Amino acid sequence: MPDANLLKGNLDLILLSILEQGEMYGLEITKEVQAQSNDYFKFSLGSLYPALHRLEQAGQISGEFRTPERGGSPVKYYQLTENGKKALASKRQEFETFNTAIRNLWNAR
Amino acid sequence: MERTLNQYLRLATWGLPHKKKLEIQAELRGNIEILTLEYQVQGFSASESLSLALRDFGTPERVCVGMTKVYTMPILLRNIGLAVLLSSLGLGVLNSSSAQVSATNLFPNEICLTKQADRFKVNGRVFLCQSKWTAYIHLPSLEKTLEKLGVKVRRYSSAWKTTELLFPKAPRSIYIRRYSGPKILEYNNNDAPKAVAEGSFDYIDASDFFQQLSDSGLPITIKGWNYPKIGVGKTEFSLGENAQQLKGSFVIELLTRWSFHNFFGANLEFEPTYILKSDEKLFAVNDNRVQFKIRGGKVGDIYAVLTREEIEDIPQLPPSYAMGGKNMRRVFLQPLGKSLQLETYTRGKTLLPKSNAEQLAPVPVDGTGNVMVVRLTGRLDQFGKVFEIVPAKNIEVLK
Repeated sequence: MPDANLLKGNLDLILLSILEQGEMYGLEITKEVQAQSNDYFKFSLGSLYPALHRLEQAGQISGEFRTPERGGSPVKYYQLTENGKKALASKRQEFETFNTAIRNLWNAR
Repeated sequence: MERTLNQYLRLATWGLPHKKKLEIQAELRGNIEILTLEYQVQGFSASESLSLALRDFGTPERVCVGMTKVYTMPILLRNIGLAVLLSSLGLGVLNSSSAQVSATNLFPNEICLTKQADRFKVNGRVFLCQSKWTAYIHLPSLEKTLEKLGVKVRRYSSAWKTTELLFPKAPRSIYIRRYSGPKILEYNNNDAPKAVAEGSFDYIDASDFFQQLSDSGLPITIKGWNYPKIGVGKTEFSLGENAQQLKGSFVIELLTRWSFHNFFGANLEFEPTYILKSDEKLFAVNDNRVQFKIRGGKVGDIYAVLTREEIEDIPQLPPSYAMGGKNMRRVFLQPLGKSLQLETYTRGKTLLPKSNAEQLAPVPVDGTGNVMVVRLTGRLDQFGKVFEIVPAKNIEVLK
């Protein structure tokens, strides 16, 4: 598990990155993130939904209620908006720049 | 269940604008239902699954705080005075509600245990058990406890019929312990108030029950009995690896005395006292009734005569075994048929009118079989609570 602050600081990047793969609902997002990160990222569902709604409010993702394939109550599927794609590109660039800068510091030793 | 979920959703969306509240509740509900279903597929009961799903979602307060930051705070910040008022009020409400709905508290106190590295272990050794066992259980409280542990209880009758215990696929730890006292069930949890209920656990079936444990080749601790098929001191078993969070302890006592329930609403305990063999011709038949004389009896004593058929119903159990450090000789009676006999008897004039009186028991016997005389003590009240059969000494059957 990463440091909580590190995770919190990059939560948007993580969510936008996973939604880049296609639309998903909240529970699905959590599972995909966990599986694709080899269990490195595990965040509680309680903190996921506020984050999703924050991104939706910011216009970076949009949600639509639909009944899942397995049936049952409808769930809200999220997908990236155009703004979200731009935000993801920006955040990714920002992260890589930051990452490179940190590595440069280490390599300078 | 629905109530629990609704309460969670209500708290998770507390303070949000009405329209947004409904939307978020619908979203959470859909996801929680999916997760609940996934737990059910793993073998958890419906209520357990919901509890686990809610645990995964975190406390409703956490969701609420997060959502409030997204939706409510911007509005509140536009009206600072109102924001201060509402936020303080909101915190108060959330705090007062958290004890009721926080995910961890959804489990009953008596089955909450501390999780260990890979399982929940109450005490002693842990081993695997089979998925389905059979036992006699007639205690609603015990059934509830079992169900809390994810064990499905199927009762086929309100009387003495087999009750099936269907253990879930999902791992559990269940704690079984035998006590020598008269109580059969007590919750054993240091954190919870101790609750005790009376009941019974079928002796024969318990033998099978623990025999299955023995046959499983798994480590079992058997203590306190000299009849290994039956006895168990402390037995603990888990149903699998990676034990989940729902773990509990309960205690089943195997009674060393037979108990009847639902007999006049009474609790009957039987203990053989005096067996007359037919070849000794110790009994006399008078109009198909056995006549016997009791010395040393007291006014109010009640005696019963068990017929040959009833004696034949006595299971072939070891005639003696240790209990509480004392060797006590007892034979257990099959419950079926016995209650009818006693019912007939207690409806007759069975009170011993005076000491050392002769007693004519209105019990039909055929004169060819064995007869057993037992003494009932306790309150003589057909609608009362307790009858008890204790050794009937100094009985002389009249020829």
